[in-house]
Amino acid sequence: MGTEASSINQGRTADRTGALINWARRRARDLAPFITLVILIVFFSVTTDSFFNYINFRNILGQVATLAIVSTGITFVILCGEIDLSIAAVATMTGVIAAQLFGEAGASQFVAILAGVLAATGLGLLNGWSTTRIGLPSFIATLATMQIASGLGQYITKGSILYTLAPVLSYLGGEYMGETEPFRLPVVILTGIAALIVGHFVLTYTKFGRYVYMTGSNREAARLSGINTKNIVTACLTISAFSAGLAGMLNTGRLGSAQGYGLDDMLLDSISAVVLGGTSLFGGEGGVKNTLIGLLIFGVLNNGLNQLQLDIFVRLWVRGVILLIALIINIYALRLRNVQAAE
Amino acid sequence: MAHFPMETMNTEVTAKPILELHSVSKRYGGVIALDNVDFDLRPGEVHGLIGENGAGKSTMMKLLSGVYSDYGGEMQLNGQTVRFASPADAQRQGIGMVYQELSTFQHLTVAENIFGRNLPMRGGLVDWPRMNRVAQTHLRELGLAIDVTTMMGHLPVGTQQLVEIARVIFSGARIIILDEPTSALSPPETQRLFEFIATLKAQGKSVIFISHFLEDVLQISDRITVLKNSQKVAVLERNQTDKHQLVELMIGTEAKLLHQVYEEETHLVEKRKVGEVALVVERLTKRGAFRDISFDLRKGEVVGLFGFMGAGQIELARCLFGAEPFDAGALTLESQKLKFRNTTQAKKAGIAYVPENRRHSLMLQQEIFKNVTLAHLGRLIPWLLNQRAELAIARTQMEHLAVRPPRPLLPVGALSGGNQQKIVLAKWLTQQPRLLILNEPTRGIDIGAKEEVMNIVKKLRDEGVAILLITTEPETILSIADRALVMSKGRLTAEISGRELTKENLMKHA
Repeated sequence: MGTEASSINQGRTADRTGALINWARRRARDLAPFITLVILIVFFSVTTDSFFNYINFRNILGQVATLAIVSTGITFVILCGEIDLSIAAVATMTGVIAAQLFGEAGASQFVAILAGVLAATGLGLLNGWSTTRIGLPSFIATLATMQIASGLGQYITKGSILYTLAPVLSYLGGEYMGETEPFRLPVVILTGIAALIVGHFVLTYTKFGRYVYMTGSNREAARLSGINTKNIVTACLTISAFSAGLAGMLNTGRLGSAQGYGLDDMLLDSISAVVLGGTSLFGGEGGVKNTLIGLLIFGVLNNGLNQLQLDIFVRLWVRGVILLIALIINIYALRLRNVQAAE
Repeated sequence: MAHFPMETMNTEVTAKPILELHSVSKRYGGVIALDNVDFDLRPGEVHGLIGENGAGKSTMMKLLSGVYSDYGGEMQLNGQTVRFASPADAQRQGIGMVYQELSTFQHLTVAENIFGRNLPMRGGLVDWPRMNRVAQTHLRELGLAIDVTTMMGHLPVGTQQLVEIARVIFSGARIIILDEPTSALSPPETQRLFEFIATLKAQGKSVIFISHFLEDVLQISDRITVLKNSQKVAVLERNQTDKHQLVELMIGTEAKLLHQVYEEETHLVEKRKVGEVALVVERLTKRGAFRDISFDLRKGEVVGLFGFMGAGQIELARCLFGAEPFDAGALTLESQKLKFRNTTQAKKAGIAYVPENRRHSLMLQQEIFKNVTLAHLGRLIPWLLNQRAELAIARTQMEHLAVRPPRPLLPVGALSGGNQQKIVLAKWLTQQPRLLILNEPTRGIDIGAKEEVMNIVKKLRDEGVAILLITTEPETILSIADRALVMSKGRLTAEISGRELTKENLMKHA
């Protein structure tokens, strides 16, 4: 770090270029994923004919919309330095509970949805309790909850598929807004965007959001600043389960049915999206903005590889390789920034 | 491949030295850490090494144990000039080092710890029966009755230390360096260690005993070397000296001058009026850390809490701030009984805590303003976060405490140590605390920043804040405290005020 005198003596222009470089370095965590996204879009636009058009972009958004809701929730958990492995199972279970109560038990859609939300939230609180009060690592605690939720989902359906869904869920998950093209937007896109906006708002503009970042940044320091870090972690795990529940119910609306299995990809997909966006798995850095970019990278990659008409078996491992490369770029971008912090 | 030590019985203490240092010097950049120091250690001798923090004890220890090889002067082992290339080299040549923080493997057995990496093998597998037999014999020869199949972590710290010493002897050490070996031990454990050291002596081993605890040094050493300001000031026979003389030698004549200066200040302090009682601590106890701590603290008063590392003062501070639970006793703040379940409650009661390590208080990658507003965010910002309001608060605080550079958008990690410490204080001063607990507030910061920090503390004192100042540096207490408490091995050993408040008295009770 330069002394005061030398920084005053430096020329204005040099100062400005320096500031720009410093800004870019400090923002490396946010910039690297964005650049990855742009490269992917350019690549698929050039190599395929069907990628770069409005309808396809809308498809991409539709494909990542429910994922966006889960990913918003798990962004909170990852930001405070924990992990939640139960989200996919909780999503499945919640979808099944709502469908069972509405379609089979004859409950009102309000009661069915409320029950689903409560069940998901309850499991989130359980995750928080066993992590912060008992002291289990969240990795283990949520692994157990994953088993519970997945078991309950299958116990309720006993292998059957439920087709009678609450109309609200069918609308939010599967209907379209607007009658004519190009305004025929899937409602689920708007739902996903709403979740991202709410998540971003809470993390950026509320004191709770600040505490989440600080807890993830240095938990001991947060605690010695008088922050109840146990409550913060519990709240994050609860938010994550709540979002998973919502996503699970909307997903039944999107698919038109509820079943006790089939959402297994959601766990790894959402964690990949969050990390691809540049949120640190160690906590404290990143946010919903990053998750949005991560989701788009994820969506573009899946969609683009489809457009390339690669063999499905090739597609799977190629996707894995590209994810790995993107993550490596993120880490390098981060090192660049840390070098600057050390200077 | 393990060494099986051969015992040469040599109890002749006045024999030719086994280890000698001849005008050894060591610098770190421009700073002299050891200045022409002579030292000698005889076979079968226990040699005490004492001095204040920064006198050169640990540099000398690192030199003897092979951590440094770039020093001036000469080291002789058994009359041969040596220069250890590495700690492993020193170990090979018979120097065993036992650090204050034991480096034992808690989840392995005593036998495995003793053998370390050189486990006896048989047909490619570990030969457990032989390992246990040899380890048990080794301990028995040293007079230790410890079952070698016990898990290391199941033994009390004092016993682990004995095993650790036995381990370095097993790997061939004839000279054993003990760094602050008694700081974590109870009195009976200390006696047991001393009996063990006597056994080693009888077997011809030599021991360098580095310690802050002068009574322990006087009890066990044959001779005592005193270091002061990187120089050797005396080598004394144990039976020709006493605690008083040792303290004098350690802190030197300038202490008398300092004493006069402080005495004048103390007079001023006596005239200053302190307020009513703020904090009352009654028989506070936490098992394994401290016992029966009772004292009170008045508004507008700075009370120093002196003790060497590991005396229990950090645990005490953490209990006062609700960061750890205590087992027994009572806390009262402004006639309100307190029992915290977490730090949030302590904060709400008006307690502010500056920990001994800035990393336990700051988020270094986060912006300065976020660190400043963190502790009292709930009171500072009424509803939604507002960066402009936060920046304004941070700027006011930074101006107040003269933080340089005054740029609240920088990450805290970009500031110098002294300025980081000011941010720690700023965080707690956005709301006036009732009780401020400062733990080593001036550690690792330059002199200018030290003075600034102390001036802030004085200002808060004058505004009526009750301040508990915890430190291992007597000077810090002398420069500002109205009274001082001394802790030693988990107990409150003295309360000193007025003319009695001298460095000598602090050190004597610690």
